[in-house]
This record gives sequence, C-alpha cells and structure tokens, in this order.
Amino acid sequence: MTTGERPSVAYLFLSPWIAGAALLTAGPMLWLLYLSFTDYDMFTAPQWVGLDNYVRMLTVDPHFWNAVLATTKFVVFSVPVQLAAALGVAMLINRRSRAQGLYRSSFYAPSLLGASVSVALVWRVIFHDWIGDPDRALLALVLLAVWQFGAPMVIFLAGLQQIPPEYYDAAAVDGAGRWRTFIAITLPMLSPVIFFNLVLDTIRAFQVFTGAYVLSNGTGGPSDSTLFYTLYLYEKGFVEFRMGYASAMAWLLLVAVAAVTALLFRTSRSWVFYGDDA
Amino acid sequence: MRRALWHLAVLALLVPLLYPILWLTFASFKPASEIVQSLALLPRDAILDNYQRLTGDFAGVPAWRFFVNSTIVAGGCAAANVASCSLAAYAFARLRFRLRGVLFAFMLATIMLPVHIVLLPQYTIFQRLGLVDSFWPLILPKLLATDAFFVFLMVQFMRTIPRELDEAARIDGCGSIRIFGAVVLPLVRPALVTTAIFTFIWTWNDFLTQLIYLSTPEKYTLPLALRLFIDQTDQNSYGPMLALSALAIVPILLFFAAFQRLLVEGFATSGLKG
Amino acid sequence: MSVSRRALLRGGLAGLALAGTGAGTAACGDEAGDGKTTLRFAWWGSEERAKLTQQVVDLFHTRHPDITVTTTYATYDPYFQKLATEMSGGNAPDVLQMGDRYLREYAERNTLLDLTPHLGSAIHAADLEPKLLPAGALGDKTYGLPMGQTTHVLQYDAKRWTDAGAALPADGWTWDDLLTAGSAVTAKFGPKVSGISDPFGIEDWFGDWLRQQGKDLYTPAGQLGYAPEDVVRWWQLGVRFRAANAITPPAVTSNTTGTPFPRKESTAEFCPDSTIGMTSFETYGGDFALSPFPTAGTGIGQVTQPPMMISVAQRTRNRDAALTFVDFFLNDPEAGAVLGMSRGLPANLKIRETLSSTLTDEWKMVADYEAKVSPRLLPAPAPPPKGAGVVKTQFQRIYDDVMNASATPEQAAPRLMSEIQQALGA
Repeated sequence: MTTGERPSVAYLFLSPWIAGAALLTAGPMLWLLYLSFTDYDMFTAPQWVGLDNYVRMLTVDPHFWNAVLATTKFVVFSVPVQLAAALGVAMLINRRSRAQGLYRSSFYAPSLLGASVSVALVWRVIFHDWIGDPDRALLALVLLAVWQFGAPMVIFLAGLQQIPPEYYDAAAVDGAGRWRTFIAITLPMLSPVIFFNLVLDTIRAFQVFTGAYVLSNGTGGPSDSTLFYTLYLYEKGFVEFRMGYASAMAWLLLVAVAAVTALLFRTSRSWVFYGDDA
Repeated sequence: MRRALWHLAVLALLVPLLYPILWLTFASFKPASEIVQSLALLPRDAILDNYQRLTGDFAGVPAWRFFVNSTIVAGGCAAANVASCSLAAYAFARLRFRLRGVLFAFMLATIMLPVHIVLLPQYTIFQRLGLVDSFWPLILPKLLATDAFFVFLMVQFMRTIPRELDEAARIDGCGSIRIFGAVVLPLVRPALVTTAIFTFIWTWNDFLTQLIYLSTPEKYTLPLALRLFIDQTDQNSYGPMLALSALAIVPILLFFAAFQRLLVEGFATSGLKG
Repeated sequence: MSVSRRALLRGGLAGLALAGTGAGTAACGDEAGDGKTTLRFAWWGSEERAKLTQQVVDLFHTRHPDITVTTTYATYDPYFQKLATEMSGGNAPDVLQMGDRYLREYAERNTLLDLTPHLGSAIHAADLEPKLLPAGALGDKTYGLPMGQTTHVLQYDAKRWTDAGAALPADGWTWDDLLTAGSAVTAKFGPKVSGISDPFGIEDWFGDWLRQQGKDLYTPAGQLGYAPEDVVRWWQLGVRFRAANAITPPAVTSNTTGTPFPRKESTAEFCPDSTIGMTSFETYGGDFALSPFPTAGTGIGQVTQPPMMISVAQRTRNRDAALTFVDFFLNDPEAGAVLGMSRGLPANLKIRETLSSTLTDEWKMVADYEAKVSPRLLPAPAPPPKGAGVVKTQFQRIYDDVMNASATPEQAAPRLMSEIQQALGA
C-alpha cells in the first residue's frame, strides 16, 4: 500500500454510507431478526416464541416448500437465460453505427415498463393459455424477466466501452480471430462486470415479486406454481398479519441468498480478473 | 453487405421484443370491451376516449402534477445516488481499511431482505423523524448510499482500472481525494451514467415505496396515479390505464435516448489511455 | 423541508431500538395554530370514486369550516398494505374505510374505536339499513358502519340462453336447472363460449349455497360453519357441471384479465352486483339480465353486505371531528346525492329513496335488482374470524387442483380443512 494513506480518508469517503447503514439499514435488519423469534401481529407487542416460526416453516408448512421450489426454478431458469441474452445483444450492437443509439434504446424499451400492472395485462393477453396452466405459468414469468434484459445489457455495454481499444489492436496485430479475441480479451476484461450482473441478478431473482403478484392476482396460482418466496412472505405478513413468521422467512431468505452469493464470490477467484490485481 | 446483414439480424430480434409494447400502445386506443376480448394488434375502431379521460384532473389534482412530482423524485434520487454511491465505491475499491471485508459483506446483505418487510421498520423511523408524506423518505436513503446495487456496480468498474494509474498520480503528489476526482471518476463515467439512468427509471416506476410514504394526493407520483385505474373489478379502467402507461413511457424513453449517448463515451474518449 | 441533525440522530436511535410498537407520535391530524382541526381520511377505490369522494369532502368543508379533511387513497390491496404499515408505525388515519374481511383483524387488535356510545348522539344511525349493521359489530360493540349495500347476483345473456333453448331463471329454480341451461348453451355456442363461468373456486358462492341449506361459512361466534362433507358435495357438484360441459374450461377460468362473462367467453356468471356497471354493462350495452341465485334447498341464501364500512381509529386525536365527518358522510342528503351508487346502494334508507331519479342506466339496473331481491336477503353475517382471508385464498388454490383434475373432491377437501385449521387456529 502506498505511504501517507490514512485510514481516516477511507471513512471520510464512506461517511454517507455509514450514516445510511446506521440510520436506515442496520437497525431495521436487526429489528426484523428479533421479530423473527416472536409472534407479531403488527399492532400489539411482539411475543417471544423462540425458534417456533423457523420450525413451523421448515416442518409443517407445505406452501413454504412450494414457494422455495417455485423460486428456485425461477432463479435457475431466468438468470442464465437473461444474462446470456443481455451479453449476446450487447456484443451484437456494440459496433460503430449511426443506428446504434436507436438500437440500444429499442432493446432497452421493454425494461422501461418495469413489472407494472399494464405489462401484466399485456402478458395476460399474449400468454392467455399459459397463465392458467400450472405447468406453464412459471414459464410466462421467466419470459417476462428475460424480456426485460435491458439493465444487464446496458451494464455489459458500459463494460465493453471500458476495455481499452489498444488491447484489441494488439490482438489484431497478433492475427487473432474473432472468437480468440472474445475468449482472450473480451471475456477476461469483462469478467468483473459479468460477475456483477450474475450476483445482482441472482439476488434480484430470489426476490422476484411484482410480475407474479399482478399476474396471479396475489394468489401465486394456479396450484402454487407461481407462489414465489416473497409473494408468500407478503401474504403471511400483510394479509395474515403474521409478521413474526414473515420476518423469519425474510431472514432465512437472507441467509440462503448470502450463502449463494458467498459461493459465487468463492468461484469468482478463478475467473474474474481485476485491473487492480497485484 | 455485412452491414446490411447486421441491421437485418438486429431488426429480426427487435420485432418480437417490441411486439408487446406495440400491442400496449395500440390497445390504448381500444374501448375497454375490445381490450379484454381481442388479441388483435390493431383496434377495430380507434378511439381517443382513453386519453381524453386523462386530460382532466384526478379528484382535483391535474395529471401534469404527477409528472412533475415523479420528475422531482426520480431526478433527486438519480443525483443523490451518483454522488453518494461513487464516494462509497471508491473507498471499497481503492482504499484499505480494517473493516473493509466485513462492511462490504454487510452492504450486500442489506439488499437481500425483501423490500416489503424492510419498509415496515423504516417507515417507523421516518415517521418519528416527522418526514412521512414528503419526498425525503424517498431521496434521503439515496443520499446515504443505501442502494448497494450501485455501490457494488461502481466498485466493479473502478476495479477494472489499472492501479498503475493512481500510483502514477500519487507519485505526482495527488492525495486520495484528488485521485478520486481527477483520475477515477472520469474513467468510470459509463458506470456513473448507468447509475443515473437506472436510478431515474427505477424510481420513476417504483410503486411500493411511494405508496407507503406519500399520502396527500397533491404529492402523488405517476405510479400511484396509474394504479388508481387498476381496480381489479373495473374493466372500464383498463383503457385509461394503458393510455397513461403509454404516456408514462415517453419521458423515460426520451430520457434514456438522450443519456445513452454518454454510455459510449467511456474509456475510448476520456483522453486517458491505459 | 430540512432535516435537523438532532432529528436524524433521534431517528437513528429509534431505528436501532424500535422498542415500542405503534407507540410513535402522530405527525398530522393535530390542532393547527389557527384552531383548525385537520382530519386524515383514508379509503380505497379507483379514480372515479376519488372524484365523488373529493366533492363530498369539499361539501363538508363548506359546512364545517373549522375542520380540514385531507384524503389519501389507493386501490384495495395497496390500501391495506399502506394502512397496516401506518398503523404499525403509529400513524393511523383518523377516519378510514374498512372491509368486512379485515374488520375483526383490526378491531380485535385495538386499532378501531368502538362507535356504540356515539350512535344516536354524534352519529345518527337510525336511517341505516338494519340488516347491514351486523357486519361492523363484534359482540355489543360497533367498529364499522356500512357505507353501502351489495348482494350477489347471477348475470346472464338472456338472448343466447333463449337461442340455445335454455329455460330462463325463474323463482325457485335449482342448481340442476342451472346445469341443464349451461350445458345447452355450451352445446349451441361452444367451444369458444361456455354456459357458465366456473363458480366453484369462489368461497362467496359456496357461502350462498351453504346458507340455502341452513349452514354458513362461519357461525356468528366466528367458528367454521360447515363440515368437510359440505366441501366435498360442493366440489362434486362442480365435477358434475364440468362433465356436462356447463362451465368454462380451466384456462378460461384462470385468465385473470377481467372475468369470462364480460369477455363473452361465457353466458352467465355470479358476481357482486356492485361490479356490473364496471364490467358487463359496457360489453353488453345493458343487453343482459340479472337473477337471484338458484337454490339447493330453501331460499336463495344471499345476504346483504356492505362493500365497505367507515371506521374511526382508536388513537385519533380528533375524535369529535372524526365522528362529525362520519355522520356527515353517512347521512347528509347532498353528500348522498353526490356519491350515488359509487359505494354500492346507499346504506342510508332515506337517501336510497331519493336516489333513483339521478341514476345512470347501469346503476338503475342494479338498483332495480336490489329493490326486487332485498326482502328475500338475509342480514349481513358477523365479521369473519381472523384468518378468513387466507381461507378464501386457499379455497381457490385448492379448487385449482380439482378444476385441473389433478385431485378429486374427496382428496382435496381434507387438504382444505387442514389449511383452514392452520389459518383459523394459532
């Protein structure tokens, strides 16, 4: 490390973030952790019940497992397909052309709509036959997520811009072909961005909510096939007023997602290359 | 020839992707009964009623008011996120301090709890601060860099910058603050632009937080107004809802089209070559 | 709009400790400096209802210049999420709209004011339809007053029924008659159009069917009012309807863009009569008919129900003003004329009498139906127990399996019962 660097400078840069953590995030997280060990109906004082909520969730609640299954399926299908689509399109349109701005905006357009109720209405009309079918309703939601690949695409595009053109010039001088250039330069240079998209997309996919909520009218139907984890959590908390149970579900989700994220970080050591690597 | 093929390939992909949007736009000119009954793209007889219903006011609040409110909130959040997240990201990406690993892990953990439930204690905090029913609960969290998504995004972009660049600047006598402003920030401009664009659009579309914190109809934003048309039992409202959706996309589409240009002007044009 | 450092610090500590629940101080709704009282009134509904409600609030301001009412509104689901969050955070609105399904949940958790002591004094309640009052009462306490009245109805396309040679509904017609008619319509207009929208997944219609046989969804004390065998019989009836091709296929039933009847994918559908003006009326241009339910024993089993009630928050700091506003909303003739049928047929009988002249066609159709059927309606049921909302969802969820033929009624009913036990138990 360079000399003359005082750690206090780091905390200076971090000060807004630290204030935010202290004021707005750490407290609520701990409060929810506490609630997860209680029976809490939102209006009267929480009653301590120990591990009850966790035990009930894991042993007697069949919908909990339906929710875990539906969410896992969604994550496994939507994340890789969405990222592949985003990277593919980003590579495709990343070339000098007067039409590039137009194309970029067009590919991003579906994402502008968000998972709004209007989009849900359109989806219902287009996937009319799928949404009532327990075997295919989830697929319609995966397609909805994949359709809105704009965010990772833009991030990939930004990442591609970040690669110094000299690297490509050098590769061209060496006579490397297109595929070779992609493997030897683009992928490693883009790897921090790929990693970012992978981690964040995974975290977000685990929390998928709005599309399923509006498409199934909040029921997660048909036959629990789109009962995503957060949908069920929402129902427990805000419809049934079992906020203790919902908090326990939330914390279990946090632990599960954290575990997956940690795993991704672990694997990243072998495939993500940073410009600041010593 | 290869150019033409390229255009063709891009357009072939775009047709199915844009079809739903096209359908939505055309449907906004259909009467309610036709929207739910017909899959056809083109309206049998196009009407403007759905748009006319939007021109008046919503229980005394003119529709443009929601646009203005949304613009203030989304613009404020975008500016706040760019400023606060880049500061935090620089510390995480480039500076050494004892708790770095722990704090970084904690930061990621903050976005792993579902937003619905986190809003509950956060509401209590803002309620006690007396800030409920103002734009503060929407903008303040962004000023305080609670959006871990963007902190992490900028960390990743900053880490692609070769460290020799700041080493060189440091030898020239620059401190961390100068390096941040003069070396790092210009180099991660694509990430800054991305942050601004995404924050703006996502805030523009965000319903839940705005629902919880805003109470007075004069302070309502577009998503709140939009949802007033979604009475599940009320099919008559589908038309105006689609019309308002179609209108609501226009500003963010223009916004995106205007700012996406900045995305291309990254490393290549920043004048600093690695 | 500035945040003082002290305030931030205070909030931070609050965030870390957050010990008391709902103990926050109400930020608004206090005496302003000029001696004016500000009330916050929260309700759900769409943009159309917002217009009329705002007119009534404006009217109230002219009558009571010392009270300012601010409104806040959203549609049903978001409304209740916001309400729960606000109440939990100690920032309840002073006056609020309450639904039958949530009334007990809120009332038993001490969030709603008992209005009983104020009936006859601050709030004039003598003109309210007495059959509606039980919906807002728990024991001898009143937590919500009816804002309107609805009941269930069968809407059907009389033209198509006649074309298909189906017998039109008449007094004392039965579920078997309905089956025959539905099956005749599907035979004539199928497969794109089915006779009847599948009603068997909806707990409300099950309730009507139960009451025709002297049972109910819940007892007045809030216990479950039926046995597993009843569920089996109801769903078996559904299986018979499906076998006879009388009802919509699963894919049509599950399409949640509106319902099959307004989409003209079926020719008959049960619904709350308050929704007709918003759905079928436009598609059919008024060219359809309304009938009470078919019977499975004695009577039509239908009840009067307030689609929404008006309640006062227990912790309101402006109790008197809140009561004044409630009284005005329910009883003022001018307010009643403005509101029309936007919250169902008015609960106030005097206002109801003056209404007919001002109604548009769709609401006139509903008002006529109500007038005809009202004498035969049973009083509103007591507020359902906590967890009833879950039961309603589960009823639909588990019926999905019967509908998709992945479970028989005999297999599905015990699953429902165990869900009910969980939902109503704990």
